[in-house]
Amino acid sequence: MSEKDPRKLAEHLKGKKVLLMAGQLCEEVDFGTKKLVDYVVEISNRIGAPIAATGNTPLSLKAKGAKTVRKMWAAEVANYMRWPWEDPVIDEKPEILVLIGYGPATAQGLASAVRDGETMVLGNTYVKGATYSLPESPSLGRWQQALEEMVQSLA
Amino acid sequence: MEEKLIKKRFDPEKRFMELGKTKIDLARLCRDARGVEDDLRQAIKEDWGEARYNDWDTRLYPFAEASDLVVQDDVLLNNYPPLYTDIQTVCSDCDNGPCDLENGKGLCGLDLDPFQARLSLRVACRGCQSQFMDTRDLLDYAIKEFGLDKEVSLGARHDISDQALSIAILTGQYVRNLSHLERALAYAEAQLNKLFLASHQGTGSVFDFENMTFHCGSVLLLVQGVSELVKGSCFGFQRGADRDKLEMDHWPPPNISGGLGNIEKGKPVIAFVGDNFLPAWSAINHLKDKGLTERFEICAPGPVGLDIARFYDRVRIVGTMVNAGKWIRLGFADVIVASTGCSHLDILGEAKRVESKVIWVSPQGLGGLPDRTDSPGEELIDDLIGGLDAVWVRDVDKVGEIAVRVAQGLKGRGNYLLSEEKVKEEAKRCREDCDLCFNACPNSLLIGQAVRKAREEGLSALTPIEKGCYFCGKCEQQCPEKIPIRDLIVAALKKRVPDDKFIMRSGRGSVPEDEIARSAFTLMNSPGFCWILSCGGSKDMEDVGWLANEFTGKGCLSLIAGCGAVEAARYFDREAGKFLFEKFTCEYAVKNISSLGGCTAMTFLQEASAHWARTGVHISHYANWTEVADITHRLMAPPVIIWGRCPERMYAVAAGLIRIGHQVIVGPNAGFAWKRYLVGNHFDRSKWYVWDTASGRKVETEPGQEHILIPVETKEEALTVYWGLLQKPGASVSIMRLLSLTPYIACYEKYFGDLPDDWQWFVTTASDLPVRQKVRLLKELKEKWGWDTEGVTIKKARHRDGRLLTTDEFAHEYSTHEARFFAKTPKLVTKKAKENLRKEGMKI
Repeated sequence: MSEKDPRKLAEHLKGKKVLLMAGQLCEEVDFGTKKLVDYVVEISNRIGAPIAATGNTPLSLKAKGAKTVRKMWAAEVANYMRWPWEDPVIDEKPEILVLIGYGPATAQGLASAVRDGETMVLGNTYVKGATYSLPESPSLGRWQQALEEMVQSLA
Repeated sequence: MEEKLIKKRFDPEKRFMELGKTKIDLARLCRDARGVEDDLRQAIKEDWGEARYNDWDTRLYPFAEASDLVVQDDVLLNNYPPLYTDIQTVCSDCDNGPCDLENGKGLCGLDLDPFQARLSLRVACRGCQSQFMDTRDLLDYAIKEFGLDKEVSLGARHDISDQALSIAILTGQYVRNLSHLERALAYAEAQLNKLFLASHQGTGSVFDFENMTFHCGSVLLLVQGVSELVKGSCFGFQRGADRDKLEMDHWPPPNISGGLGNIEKGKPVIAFVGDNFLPAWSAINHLKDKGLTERFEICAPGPVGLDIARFYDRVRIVGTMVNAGKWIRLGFADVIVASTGCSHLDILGEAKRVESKVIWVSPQGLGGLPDRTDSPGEELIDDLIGGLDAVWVRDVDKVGEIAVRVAQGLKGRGNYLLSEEKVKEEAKRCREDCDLCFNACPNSLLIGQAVRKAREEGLSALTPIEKGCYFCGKCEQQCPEKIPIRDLIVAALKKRVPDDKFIMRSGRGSVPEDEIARSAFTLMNSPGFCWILSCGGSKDMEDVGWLANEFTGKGCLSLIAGCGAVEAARYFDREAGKFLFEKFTCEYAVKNISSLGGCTAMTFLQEASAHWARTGVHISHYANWTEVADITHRLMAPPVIIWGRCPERMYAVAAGLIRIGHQVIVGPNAGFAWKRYLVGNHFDRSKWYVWDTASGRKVETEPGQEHILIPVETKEEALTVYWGLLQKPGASVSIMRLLSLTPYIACYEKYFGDLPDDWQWFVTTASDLPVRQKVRLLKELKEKWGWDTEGVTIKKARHRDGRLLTTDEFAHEYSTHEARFFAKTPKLVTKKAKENLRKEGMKI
């Protein structure tokens, strides 16, 4: 997918059934003024999307005020996408999975495994296996800027 | 026609035998005896029950092909359909291509999904190669030295009931000498050839390729078994099976001093890197002959270090194989004797930087070195001492003495490590607005942040990333300022060298059946087994020790093999003042942890699991893959954690362990990049059934062993999912449910803040529930899940189909309380039960 502009990526979420996936890097990446986990909560709250909290993220997501959080294993989510959806994190099969907090190889593995649905990776590198992906960010600052633009566009 | 074939395939003198009052026709049991009639007859005579033979339709497959072993693979692949990652749509495997499979089948008829499965097989095949090659070299060397008639065994306490299970289960051979190993290895090599061919030219289905991927893992475990038998029988590797079982709680002693901090300064250091221990064996024999052992330090990272520790307790195991580049650049070794191994490493480049001399011993070349195997030893020694960086010598007998004498003759080397001031200076070149190193790092280490911090704080700022770095060098490739990041990291490693010390036990080798049977009496006090494999190189090198301590401390029977033992050994319990292997005793019993040995000792994990079929159910394993795997899978085989960098070899090992019945948890990062996951879906009730083997009755069960290959992100996820995977229909005894459900719920709540979403499906009676949580959980069952409870008892249970059943009805209709002996496929029920199923219309 050639679309890499965060504001335009935000457009792709509108009107869709979105499930956010928050990975372990959400716990570790600190931009200075904000942490990566803060952006997951902001995106979730702005678009009313539930969060499949993978890694050790459930406790901090809840502490940061995320409304619908459910502990899941990342590979489970990708697996469920190929069957009739039954997990109560969301009432129907998501049309798009938004992955935040996964390293490039992990995000590539997960996104490419999803066959029946779209994926969007909001990471620090471009992920070719995803339907949509942020571009390569040469620095944490640029990544944060892209996330800020994304969040603002969801308002 | 059949009779004609039988005459060709069975020795008429050996075809028939008696078991009790029953006459057995081997031709009814297997298609082709492949010349092992004597072994099969002995196994049947000593290990089979007459009643079982009469009741079941056992089929044996001596020297099995992948397609002979489809029954269990079918169960696995039906319940856990492969989920492929990193989808490749264009196939260019032949000169008719490329074919874009997204647009339909390729010219050869291959579809997109089977192509992914073929790629999965290819990874597994590649992962096997170095250990196959190393084992071939080892066996050829042993045959040359000792002859084909040299007797082999896994130790004095093994007999036909448990000798070399990984070989016997595929070949039907009762291994007793090197000629048997020669035949077993030739079989494995032929299998790998066929699998490799299929991984490039096969046009089968997903099932066909995954069946072959599993087979690839099985033959790798066989090859590891060959290697272990040779090591123990010909080269003096110590083995627990030679000791009295009553001393196994403290044998082997914790007497191996590991870590860079334990290398004595001032002594010449010889390091051995790779899979091949023979050069070390040769060098150590030379040192012993000359009375020089105390004047040299013999060091080794990884599998070869663990091998050496089984015959030389003065070895210093410095770390894991995937981290070898880091240790080499530290410059700790005067001479490095290297062979092929699991990881790619620029040995020549790294060694040259620090003036370590390299002796390369593997059959294939390295970096353009001329083959000097036939050069006189004195000439090679003079050349290396005189300034030559490296030589390639394939003669391991020669290499030992050369390594010792070169190490003796070197006059000291320069110091190439960066000083703290130089590190700060280099760190100043790091750009504020750049984190390309973070993007490139496979462990997602925040390298740039640490380097910028090092401008002021120096080396201590780099310690966290040093511990998580396995020296791949991708960060340096990306750095626009060309900062020598790995030199910074090695400087940080140097700072912590004095504290890099640990104590471990060497490997014990196999676990004989008498110990396995003895442990059965303690298992009712334990959540289960815990098996850990690791290659090192995870984001936090302390993960494996943490996991091993958690599991063993909670009462598990823990086994560890390969480089993981080295990582676990570093765990230090400050309160107890002991390292992990000092803290726990080491018998095959609950709350004990044993290291089995180096990389090839992973085969003993399969053997320890599969022995239960013989020990508990009296099923012989000779050429009897299907029955053994069925029992191992549903009753005994515990989850296995594979942690760290995970080279391709581990992909094949995982396939083998899964096929015999284990569930594999792989993390923290590498598993997500594996070509396929095998995850189940606990919401899909159609997957969770067993068949009562006596009657053929189909019974719905809990979604136990939910996954057989699942990647995880953190050690806490690994720990929790491990307890979750211990839930299985086989654990129909309440105390076993209680012991595994208790840590599952406790960990889930501790690390993730909620109850698991599936705990209610594992409850069959109130006594399954954790004692301290019973009242709360019964309330939850009543209010959220609609069960009828009163006080601390369950009056009626809610079936997953919605019906409210009395406890008697529930026990009959859910899980395995009344399925006295069950199977996961109707193909493995008794003859009588099959008749019942046929009457009901099932084609079986």
